[in-house]
Amino acid sequence: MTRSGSLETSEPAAAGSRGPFSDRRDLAEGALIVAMAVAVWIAASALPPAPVENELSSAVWPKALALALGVLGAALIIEALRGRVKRDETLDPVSAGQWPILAGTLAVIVTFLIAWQAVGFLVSAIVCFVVLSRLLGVGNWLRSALWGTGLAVLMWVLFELLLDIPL
Amino acid sequence: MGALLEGFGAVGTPLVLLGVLLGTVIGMLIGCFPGVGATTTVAIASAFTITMSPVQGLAVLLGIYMAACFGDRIPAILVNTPGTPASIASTLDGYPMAKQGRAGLALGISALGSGIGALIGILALAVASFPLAGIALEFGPAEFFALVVFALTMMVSVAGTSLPKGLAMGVLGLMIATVGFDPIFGNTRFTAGVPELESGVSFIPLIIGVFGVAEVFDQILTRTTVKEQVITQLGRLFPNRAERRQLLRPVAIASGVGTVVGAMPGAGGDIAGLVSWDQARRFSKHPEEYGKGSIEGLAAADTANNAQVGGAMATTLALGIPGDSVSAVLIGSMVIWGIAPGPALYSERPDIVWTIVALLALSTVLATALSFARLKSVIKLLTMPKPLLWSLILVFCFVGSFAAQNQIFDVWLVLAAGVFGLLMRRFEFPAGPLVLGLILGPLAESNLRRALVISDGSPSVFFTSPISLILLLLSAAAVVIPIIQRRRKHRSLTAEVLATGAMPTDLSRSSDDTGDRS
Repeated sequence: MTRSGSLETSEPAAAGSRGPFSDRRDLAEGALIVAMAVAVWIAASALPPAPVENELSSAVWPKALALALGVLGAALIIEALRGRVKRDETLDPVSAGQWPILAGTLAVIVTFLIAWQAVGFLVSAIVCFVVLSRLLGVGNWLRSALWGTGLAVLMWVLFELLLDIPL
Repeated sequence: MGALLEGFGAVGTPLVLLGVLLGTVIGMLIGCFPGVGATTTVAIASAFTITMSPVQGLAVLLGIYMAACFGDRIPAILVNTPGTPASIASTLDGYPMAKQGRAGLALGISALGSGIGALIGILALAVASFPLAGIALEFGPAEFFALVVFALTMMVSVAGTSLPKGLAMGVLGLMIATVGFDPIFGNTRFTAGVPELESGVSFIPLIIGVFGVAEVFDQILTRTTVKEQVITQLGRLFPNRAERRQLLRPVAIASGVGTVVGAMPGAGGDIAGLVSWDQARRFSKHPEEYGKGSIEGLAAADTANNAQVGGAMATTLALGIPGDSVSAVLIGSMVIWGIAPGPALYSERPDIVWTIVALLALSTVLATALSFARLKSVIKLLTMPKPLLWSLILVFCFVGSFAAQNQIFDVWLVLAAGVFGLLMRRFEFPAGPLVLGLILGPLAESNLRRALVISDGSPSVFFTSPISLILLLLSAAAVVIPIIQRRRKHRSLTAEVLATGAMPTDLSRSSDDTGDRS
C-alpha cells in the first residue's frame, strides 16, 4: 500500500519507504492548518469589544484557539520536515475506478436535495434513490427501481405516517 | 432510596420497555454490519427520538449503544472483520476459533463475557459515579476548564494517531463550537450571515456526516471485488464446566480493566479490548495460546468491550465529559431533552441516573438473550450486498437528519460534513477529537472566561488550584511522554543501525506497532 498519497489508487510500496510526496503532503497540511489559524484570527479581530468593563470580549477564546491551531500547524510542519509524521497503517487504498462512482453519488445527492425543495419529497426521492441504487451497483435497472422505490416509500411511511414528521 | 425507586420505576412502562427492545434489536443488527457503527446509529436515532419523552428516547438510544457492543463481535468471529472498531480484539482469537470449527463456542463465550462485563460496568456506574459527581461539585471554572483540556489531550494521546493532527482536530472542534451566539454577550460569531448558524452548528447532522456518510463514501472508494467468506457452521454454543472455570480469571481482569479504560475520555471499546487481551495474557497459565484460538483471549476482549460502557457513562454523567463518541452524541440528545449531564444532575435529577442504570441493565439482559436466539438469521444478514447497505445508510442519514429540526440546511450540513469527514479519513486526521471539541467547546469557553473574570484576568488561577494544576500537568504529560518515547525509539533504532550496519525497515517511520488501531 502506498503511503505517498491516500487519494491515489494503490500500488505496492517498498517496505519502510515513505516517499517524498508523503512528506510534501504533510507540509501542505501543516501550512493549511496555519493558514486556517490566521484566517480565524483575522475574523475574530472583527468581533466587537466587550460591552462591560473588565469582561473578556467574545474574540478572546477564538483568538486563543487560533493561536493553538497555529502552533499545532507549525508542529506538523516540523514533523514533516523531519519525516516523522505518524501514519495510520490500517487505511485501505482507493480502488481503481471508484472516484467516478463517488462523484456520481455526490451529484445524485445534490440533485435530490435541490429537487426535494422544488417538487416535494416522494417524487424526488423515488427518482434519485433509483439512480443512486443503480450507481452503487444494486443489480440491474429493475432491481434498482424496486429497491430505490421501496426505500423512498419506506421513508415516507416512516416519517409522514408513523412519526408524523412532514417531509 | 426514593430516587432509586423513582428511577427504576420509570422503566416499567410498556412504551419504555418497547423502546429498549427496539433499540436493542437495532443495535444488534447495526453492530453486525462493519462500518455502520453505534455513533452514527445513535446520532440518526437521536433525530427520530427527539419527539419522545426523555425516558422513552433514552431507552432507544441506550438500547442501541449497549446492543451494538454485542452485535459487533459476530462479523469479527465469523468473517474476521470487526463490526465496529471496538471488536478488533475479538478477531485475534475469535476468528481462529471459528476456523477450528468452534464458531458456536466462540459466539457463546463472547455473548456470556459481554453480558457479564456489561453488568459489572453498569454496577461500577451505579456505585462510583455518585462519589465522582460529589468530587466534581467542588470544581470551579478553573477546574472544569483544566478537565476539558485533560479530556482532549487524553483522547489524542490514547488514540495513538499523529499528535499535532489529533490535537488540531480537537482545537478545530472547539472552534466550530464558537459559531453562533456568544454565550455571555449574545452577539453572533462567524455565522457569515446565515440565519441557521445563529444557534450554532447543529451537532447531530455534523456527527451523522462525519461518521456515517463519510464511512459510506470511504467504503465506496475502497470497494473490492473480493467477497468475504462467512463461516456458517457453528457447533455447540455453551462452554462446559472446565471451560467456564478457565474463563473466570480473564473475565474478572477484563471487567476491571474495561471499566477503568472506558472511564477515560476518548478511550473506547477498541482500547479496552486490546489492553484487556494483553493483560489477561500476562496472567494466563497458557499465554502461548493467545492469538491462536484461546477462549480466554476472546473472553477478555469481549468482556472489556462491554464493561467500558459503564465506565464511559460514569464519566459522561458525573462530569459531563463524554467517555467515547457515542456518549458524546448522547450528551447532545440529553441536553435537547433538558437533562444536562454533569455533577448537578446527581443533586437535581438523581432519578435519571438510576433510570439510565436500569435501561442499560435491561438492554444487557435482552442483548445477551438475543445473542443466542435468531443467530442463524443474523448470520444470513452478513452476506447482504454492500450496495444495498450503502444506499440504505445514505438514505437514513440524509432523511433522518431532516427530522431533528425540519430544516433542509441540516441535510446540506450532513453532506458537507460527509465530504469533510472523507477528506479527514483519507488524510489521516482523526474524527474523535473533533467531536469531543465540538461538544466540550461551550463548557471550555464559558469556564475559561469565568475563571479569568474571577481572577481579574490572571492565568495563575489555573495553577493555584491543586485540582486544576494536576489536570494540566497530566495533560502536558499526555502530550510530552509520547514525544519522548518516539525520540527514544528513534535513537535506539539509530544505535542499532550503527551497531549492526543493517538498515531497520522502519527507521524513517514514527508509527508504533500498537496503538494505531483505534
